[in-house]
Amino acid sequence: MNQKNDFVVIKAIEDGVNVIGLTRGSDTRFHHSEKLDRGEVMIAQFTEHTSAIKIRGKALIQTSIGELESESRK
Amino acid sequence: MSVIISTDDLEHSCPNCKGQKYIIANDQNEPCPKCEGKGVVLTALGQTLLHFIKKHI
Repeated sequence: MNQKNDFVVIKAIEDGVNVIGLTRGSDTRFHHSEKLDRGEVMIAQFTEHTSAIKIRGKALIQTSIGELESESRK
Repeated sequence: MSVIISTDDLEHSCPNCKGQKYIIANDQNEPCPKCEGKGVVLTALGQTLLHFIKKHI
């Protein structure tokens, strides 16, 4: 699987969903954050800078290996 | 048409330290490793604006 072509689709089901990119390398930092409101869609790729993506809030997530839903924060 | 940019469009509170900049590790306050002690994480717009200003200042 080519990591540079791999991407995820995130659709916010509620307001204020956060999509956070984590750095590739020895230390894993948050280098980028994006807020999605209800209905907004983000298509994010894994890149040379981003090796992980964290999603906070209720969202529908589609990846090459399947679909899942994240849950609301309390 | 005017464009209003809110702080929330530019940066978000770090979810690891909840904006506190520090976390408690080994009974000591240590700078949050996830946001490098900034307490916030920049958005794409925040980074774009920051780079633009740095370039032209």
